[in-house]
Amino acid sequence: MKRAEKSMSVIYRVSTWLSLSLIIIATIEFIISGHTFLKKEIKTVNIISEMLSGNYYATYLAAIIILIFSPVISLFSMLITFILERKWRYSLLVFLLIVIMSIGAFLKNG
Amino acid sequence: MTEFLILMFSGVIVGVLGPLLGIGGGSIIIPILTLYFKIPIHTAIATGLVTIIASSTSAVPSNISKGLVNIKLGLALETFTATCAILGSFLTMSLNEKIISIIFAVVLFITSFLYLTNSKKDDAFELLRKYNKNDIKGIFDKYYFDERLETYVYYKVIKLHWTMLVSGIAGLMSGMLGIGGGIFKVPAMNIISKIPIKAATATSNFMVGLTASAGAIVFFMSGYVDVKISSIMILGVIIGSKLIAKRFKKVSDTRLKKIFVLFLLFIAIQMLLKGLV
Repeated sequence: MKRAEKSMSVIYRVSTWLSLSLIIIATIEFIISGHTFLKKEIKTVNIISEMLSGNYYATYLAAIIILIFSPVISLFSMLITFILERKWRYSLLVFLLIVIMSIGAFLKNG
Repeated sequence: MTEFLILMFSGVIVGVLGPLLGIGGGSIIIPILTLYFKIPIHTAIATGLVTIIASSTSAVPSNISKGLVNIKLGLALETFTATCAILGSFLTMSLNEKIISIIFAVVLFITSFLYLTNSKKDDAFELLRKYNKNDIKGIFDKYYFDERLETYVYYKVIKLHWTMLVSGIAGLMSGMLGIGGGIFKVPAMNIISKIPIKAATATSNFMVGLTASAGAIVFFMSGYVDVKISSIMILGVIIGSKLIAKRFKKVSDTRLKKIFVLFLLFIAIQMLLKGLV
């Protein structure tokens, strides 16, 4: 359990500080660019190249993506840790939770 | 500038209350976004979910390091609550929302009353006299470091089936009404299973992050997340949970319960008005 807790903790810490840093960078870019906040259609695959070219909207978007995916990534990391530790009961529990959450999410979308 | 400050300030409130009370904060954010900023409800919900995740991810690591998050219990309860929430979302179609809101409000008033009668008890202090290291044998039993008492507090999880049942009902209701279940999970863990309030709120905070993430991904992919508003609120949440929440570290269990009662009453009145108007 300690390893699972540690992996989850690291993922959460990294994602929090990474998104905070990206939001601060994007805000600085936004202030420099003349205070116009325009929503632009950006494809997810192009986010990094858009960020590097100074598109602050892409930087904000990246910060949010990192944040909203971090709990799911932490669940997968816990699943991997439990499988590696051969704790099948907990592995099954986490797997079940991932399945239920996915069903719930897609039903909400429907 | 005023809008920026209001958004930032609501983010700070969620950043402080989320980790403190184990709630998501949707009941604070959604009314502000819909009533003050006139944002469509779907965008408000999506933006609220992103803020809830920020509140959870920024508080969970420090709570884990102090041993406050009971991950095993959180995972077990979340599986049951999430299943019931899915069932609840189907039940909404066949039940009158106003009646559910009134029932919800009544349940919250009863919970507030239970807390008021129980609020004089300091969980950590009582547990110190009750259990020691050798008593922690059950699968969900745990210990944590209490910064106010400056010692380890050991606790046993009792009557888990009842807590699961209440969490299931909480999931059912949250599925029906579209609000988080933190306000039910925390009292269930604390009053029924005798989990100290600090551990209950930290575990609940971990659980709301998982729940919010599933919803936020779907809303994000559908394009409902407002990037500008979310970013400002995330800033506020992180400031709130990292800087201001540190001041609450040494808050006593009795005071925490009183703050929780005030919040329960706030939600109960909101729900009652929703049901009556």
